Amino acid sequence: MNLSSKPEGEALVVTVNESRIDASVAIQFKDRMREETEGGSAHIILDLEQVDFIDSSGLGAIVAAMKQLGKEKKLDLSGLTTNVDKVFRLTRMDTVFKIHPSLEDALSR
Amino acid sequence: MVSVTDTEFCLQFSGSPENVRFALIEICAQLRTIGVPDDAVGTAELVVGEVLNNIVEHAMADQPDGLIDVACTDGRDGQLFTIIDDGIEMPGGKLPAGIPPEVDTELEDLPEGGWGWSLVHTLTRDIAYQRVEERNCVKFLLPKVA
Repeated sequence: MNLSSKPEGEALVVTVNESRIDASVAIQFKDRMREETEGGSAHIILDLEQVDFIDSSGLGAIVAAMKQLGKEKKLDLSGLTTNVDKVFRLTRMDTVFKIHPSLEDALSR
Repeated sequence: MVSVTDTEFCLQFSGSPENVRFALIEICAQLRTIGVPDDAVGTAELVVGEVLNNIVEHAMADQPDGLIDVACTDGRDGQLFTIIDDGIEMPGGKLPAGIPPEVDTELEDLPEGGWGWSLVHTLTRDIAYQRVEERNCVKFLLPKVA
């Protein structure tokens, strides 16, 4: 599961360098998120621009990643593609996360 | 293993998360070949993926060598999918109702799953489940969007 991260101002941007977050990588995703976000910034932006497929297991892994950050850290999302956005809307998880249209938009706020 | 005509295709594979991933990629490629629009292909990938994940994680959890057959026929109203597996029977002999989990909760109580059947029921029509010759058979229509 290829994730990378870099600080941008106050925030830490974690980029998913994969086209899918599905059941076969959900546990790896959660573990990699923990590694990338340990210590560091309290504001994390997860950039999903390269992801064109997510299933309910992948969505669960993103929720689990947010929960393991605890209440002191904040996880926003950016760059949801059409199919990924659809899953967030259908499950109403778009009401749980702050979702930015793009990374540029997320960083300009 | 894939077989294809102008309006239908089918494939067979054993039940692992990796095989589900490869099967979905193949199914999407076939759907595009028969002219299904991108948005509908995305919906099909999600729905078929949820049904297949459920088979691998529950019905065939103790039989990784069990086989799954997916068949698709393109018709006037949309794509009719038939998914058959070697797994154990659905609890109570019927499909889960698919009630979506509550999301209006505290952080620590947020759901980390349980959306699968809710998504399937929301996005399909005429879904039916039958136990046939020791196998599970789920059929549904992915309706064409007008």
